Amino acid sequence: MTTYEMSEWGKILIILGILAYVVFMTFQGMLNFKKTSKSSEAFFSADRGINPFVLVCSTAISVFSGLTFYGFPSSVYRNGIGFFSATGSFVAALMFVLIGYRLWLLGKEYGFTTPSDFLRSRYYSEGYGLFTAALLVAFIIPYVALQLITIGDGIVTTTEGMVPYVGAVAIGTICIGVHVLSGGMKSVAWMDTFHMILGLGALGLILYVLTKTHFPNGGLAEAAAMVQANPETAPILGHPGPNGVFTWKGTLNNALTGAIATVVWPHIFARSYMAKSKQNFLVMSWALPLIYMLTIGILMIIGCVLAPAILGPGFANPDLVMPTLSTKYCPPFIAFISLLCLFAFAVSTSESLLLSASSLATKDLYIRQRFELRNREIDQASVVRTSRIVVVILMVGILYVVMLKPAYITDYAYRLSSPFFAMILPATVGGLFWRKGSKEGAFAGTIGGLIVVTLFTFILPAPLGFSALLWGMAVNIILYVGISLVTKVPEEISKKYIDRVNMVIATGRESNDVIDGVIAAARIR
Amino acid sequence: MSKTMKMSFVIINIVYFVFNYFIVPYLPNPLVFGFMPFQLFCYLACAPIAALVWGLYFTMFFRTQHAYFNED
Repeated sequence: MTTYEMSEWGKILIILGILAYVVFMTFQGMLNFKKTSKSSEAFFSADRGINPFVLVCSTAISVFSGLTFYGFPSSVYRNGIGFFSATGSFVAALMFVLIGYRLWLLGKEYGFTTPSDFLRSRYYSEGYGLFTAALLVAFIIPYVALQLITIGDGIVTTTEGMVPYVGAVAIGTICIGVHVLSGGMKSVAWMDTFHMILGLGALGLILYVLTKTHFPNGGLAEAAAMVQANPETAPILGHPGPNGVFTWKGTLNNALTGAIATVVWPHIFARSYMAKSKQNFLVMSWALPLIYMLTIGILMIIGCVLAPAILGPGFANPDLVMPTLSTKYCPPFIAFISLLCLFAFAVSTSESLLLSASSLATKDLYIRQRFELRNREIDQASVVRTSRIVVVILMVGILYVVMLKPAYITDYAYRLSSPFFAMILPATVGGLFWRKGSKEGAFAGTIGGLIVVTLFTFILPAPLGFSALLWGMAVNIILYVGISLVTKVPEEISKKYIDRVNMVIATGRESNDVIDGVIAAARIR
Repeated sequence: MSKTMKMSFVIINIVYFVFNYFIVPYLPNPLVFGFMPFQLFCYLACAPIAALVWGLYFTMFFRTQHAYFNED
């Protein structure tokens, strides 16, 4: 196979390209500084005015992280095409519409901007709101840290060490921090759209160049034939894969971890409030599966066809499949494009999560406790100012984790992030659709689920071949339903968050009168 | 929207997810288009099907929704 060595000039040009990207992002963020300085709705939710195309791109690229870009090809190379189940067969699109539309209606009515806003109000419990906000913030930090580590490693690998790790991480941190600080969600959403287009285009180019360079005559068919002919690589093309991971249980585990809980990741949850209109949800239902198909489809083909054909079986470090292909087996220009693609995936996720953490910490942990509960006034500009300070504090915390790379903390926290985020799923779904979902049930389910996930992640092996998350979810649902059935929900809560939304959906109107109530009751029955 | 339509939508989705999570791994797996494993093709081909079914259903559903219509 043809390999490429990068010249010193090539590395310098890549560094200049990275700096140009940072300047571009900073400039784009600054453009929205004034627009987002006076209102927390503008800063956190882009004035609830994100159009359908931008919301689809922003949601998709916020789900695809740096770990998707590096992790998908390497996981497919290691365990076969069954890893596709991490997309959950596009279930995120369906769930975003079913759950998101109700959240959007409630957000319009009651001004919610964070997941905890809804959970606190629906479960009439300051304690539950505080608990979920603290939980989400605590596990966003390692998730963002890992994105920055990925960016740092990507820059170091691509420039072959010309930019040291510390410098690379500093670049990523400045890029993300300044952009979020200055423009809030208005800048993040538009940059996400740019990143989605950039990421998809870059992936297509990488696929094309790898195929053209290494299989100029037979193309992908030649590569696939090579993979199929080698008994060591052939299992990559099917189920259950080379290591037997993807039986139906493995598929279900992977789908639950990677996709089904996506909708309650804090930065995706918050996107439900940002939609401009019902049109957003309609477009999401058909456009999100197609974006997933294109993006993940390319990563899958790289992982199951090109990587094993080019690198052969038993590649020493499967985690480095993608950076190795883009730096050693592609011309330097493609190495740079690949780095931009990594930026697109990692920066977008980091920014959205950072903004979510900032809104949770500012609104639910600080403003709520310090001002709202004490009946003290705070103006909108001060909320935004506080949020910006919180972003800086969070970035310092994240930088601390990234610089020290405390492997055990980062790794453990990352392994818990997605499962822990998922533990608010039963309370969220129940809170939207089930009148009987009570505060006691929500507390018991969430805490029970967290304990089970932690137990089966670190202390005991998860039984029967199912993942810790699946067991945690099962216990969570059982406790939530069981305890809710024996406790009471105040009537006004059920009316406000369930009956009222049912009525709006059944009649199609937000106005509330006796006739609507009768129509709604008849239709729901 | 009629109850029949809602029920059909639920059943189609159950079939769709059962097919993806439990059936695809056991299907035969020849290469299609010369390079793509058939099982992977099934996964990817489900995207336009999902887009069509969900898009059609929610088009009809959102036609009935006029809440906050002044902001559409």
